[in-house]
Amino acid sequence: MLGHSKLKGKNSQGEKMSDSAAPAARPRPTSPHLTIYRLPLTGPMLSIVHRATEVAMAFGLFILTWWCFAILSGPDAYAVFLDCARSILGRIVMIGLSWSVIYHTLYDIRQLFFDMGKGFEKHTIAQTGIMVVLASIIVTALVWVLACTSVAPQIGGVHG
Amino acid sequence: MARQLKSPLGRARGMGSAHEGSHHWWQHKMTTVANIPLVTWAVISIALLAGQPYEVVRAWMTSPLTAVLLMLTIFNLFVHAKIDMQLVIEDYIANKAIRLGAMLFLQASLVLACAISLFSVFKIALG
Repeated sequence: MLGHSKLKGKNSQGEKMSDSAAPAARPRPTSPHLTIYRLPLTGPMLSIVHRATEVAMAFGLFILTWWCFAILSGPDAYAVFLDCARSILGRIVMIGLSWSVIYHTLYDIRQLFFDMGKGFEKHTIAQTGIMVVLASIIVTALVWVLACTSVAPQIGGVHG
Repeated sequence: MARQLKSPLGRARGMGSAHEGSHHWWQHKMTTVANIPLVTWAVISIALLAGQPYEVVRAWMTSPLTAVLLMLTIFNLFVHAKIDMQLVIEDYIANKAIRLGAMLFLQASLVLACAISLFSVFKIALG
C-alpha cells in the first residue's frame, strides 16, 4: 500500500514536471482496447454475439417453460401467455429470441467444423461468418412468414 | 498428522489427467448435434402453432411422437444452456463467492424450469 501510494505521488509529480517542460502534452500510448481496436467482423464480433444469444436463449427457456405450463393450466392461462407474447414488447422479445435460436444453431454448426479442424483459413472464416449472419436473418424472416401465414387458414376455417 | 512436503502441483504432476476434463465439452458437442434436427423441428412446429387456438395447440402436444420429440428438445436445450451459462459465469465472474452463488442460483433455476416444462408436456400427453 505504502509503495503504491508513493508510486502514485511520483507519477503525479512526474506528470506535472512533463507538463511544465512540454506545453503541448502528448497523449500517452494506449493499448488497443475495445473502443480503439476495430474488431474483425467475422471473428470476435460474431463470437460476442454468439455469447449474447446464449444468454438470450437461457432466458428464452423460461419463456418456453411458461408456454408449456400455460398449455397445461388451461385456455385462460394460455390466453394470458398469448396476450403477453402478442404485445409490442412480447413481439420484440419473440423476434429476438427466434433469431437468437437460429443464429446460435447455425453458429454451432460452423463451430462443429472448427472442432474437426476445418475452415480455419482466413477467407473461409470470413465467408462462413457472413453466411451464418445472412442465413440467420433469412431463416428468421422465413419462420415469421410461416408463423404469420399459418394464422390465415385457421381464421378462414373458424369462419367457414 | 502426516506432513505433506510436496506441493499440490508436485503431487498432481506425473499422475496424468483425471480423464474427466473433456466430459462437458463432449456433452456440449453432443447436445449441439442433437439440437440441429430437434430445434429445426421445434421452430417450424411452434411457428405453425403461433396463430392456432388453444385446443389445436393442446391436441398437437397430446400426440405421442410430438410429446416425445418435444420432451427431448426441452431436455437437450436445457442441458446445452446449463453448460453455456456455466461457461459465461466462469468467464465473467472472478469473485469466488459470487461465482458460486450465481452458479447455484442459475443451475437451480434451470433445473426447476426444466422439470416444470417436462412435467407439463408429460401431463398434457397423458391427458
